[in-house]
Amino acid sequence: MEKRNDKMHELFRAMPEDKLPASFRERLMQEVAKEAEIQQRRSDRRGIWIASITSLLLVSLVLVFFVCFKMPGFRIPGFNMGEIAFYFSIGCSALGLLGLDYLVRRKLEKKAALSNKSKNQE
Amino acid sequence: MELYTDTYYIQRIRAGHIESFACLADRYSQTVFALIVRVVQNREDAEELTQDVFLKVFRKLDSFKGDCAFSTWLYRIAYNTALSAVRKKKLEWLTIDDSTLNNFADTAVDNGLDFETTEARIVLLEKALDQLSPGERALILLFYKEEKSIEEIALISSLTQTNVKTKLFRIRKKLYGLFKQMED
Repeated sequence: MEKRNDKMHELFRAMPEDKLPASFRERLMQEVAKEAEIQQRRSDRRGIWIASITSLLLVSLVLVFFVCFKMPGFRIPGFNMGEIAFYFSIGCSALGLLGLDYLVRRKLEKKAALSNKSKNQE
Repeated sequence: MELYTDTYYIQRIRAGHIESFACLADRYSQTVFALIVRVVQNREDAEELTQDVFLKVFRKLDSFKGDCAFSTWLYRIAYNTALSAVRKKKLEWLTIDDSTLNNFADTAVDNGLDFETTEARIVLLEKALDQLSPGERALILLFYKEEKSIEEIALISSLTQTNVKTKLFRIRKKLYGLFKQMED
């Protein structure tokens, strides 16, 4: 059968061919771009699902270990109001000093800029 | 001259450069359309189906393993898409029974189809093709028009090579019968 050098072949080759419209490529590529966007969104969604499920599994695993097997054996220490007040006062003083530093620097910079300006005018 | 191979474009598309798909479409859209339009016998449907074929190719590109040529894989999708579209429409076509086909001697078929290519003959061929079943049209077009080998046609149509050969042989006989009918 594999003889294609017959007259039938010539006849088929001479047969006129329907042509695709010139706009076909543009339309196809628009559809392809839409499809690519859908695929991208689908893959993003899949990624979010995988991350969420993995996180949930990890949290469940930790809870199971913590509740059922009491592992790892750590304890959250109770709050001591005296200590909190001490650390809070230190934090406040540090923040106050930082603010003061910022204000003083700004004032000094302004002064320096003004004196430079008057020197240049002279 | 072809600058880049299909594999090069496929790799680029897989890497996210979807504009490379236009190059594959430029290379194959016309031939795929020519095949589909002959199978479904409707220009508008064929245009839509050709677009469907290329969209399917784009969607399934990751599943293309490269165990056959890209064009073979593409034609397989085109062949299945066109035939399932025709099956949905439930069109009717001429059937010639085995006894009629057996009446034609093989040599008579060979000699009978050995004629000069003329305008009138081409018109006759087109009319005869219209009377074949869509599957038969697809097979004979793949063999003569697209110049695919028996092995490729077997891959495209999911038939065995022996089956393809037998079918092509019978289609040639059928065409000869139709030619004779139209000439008489």
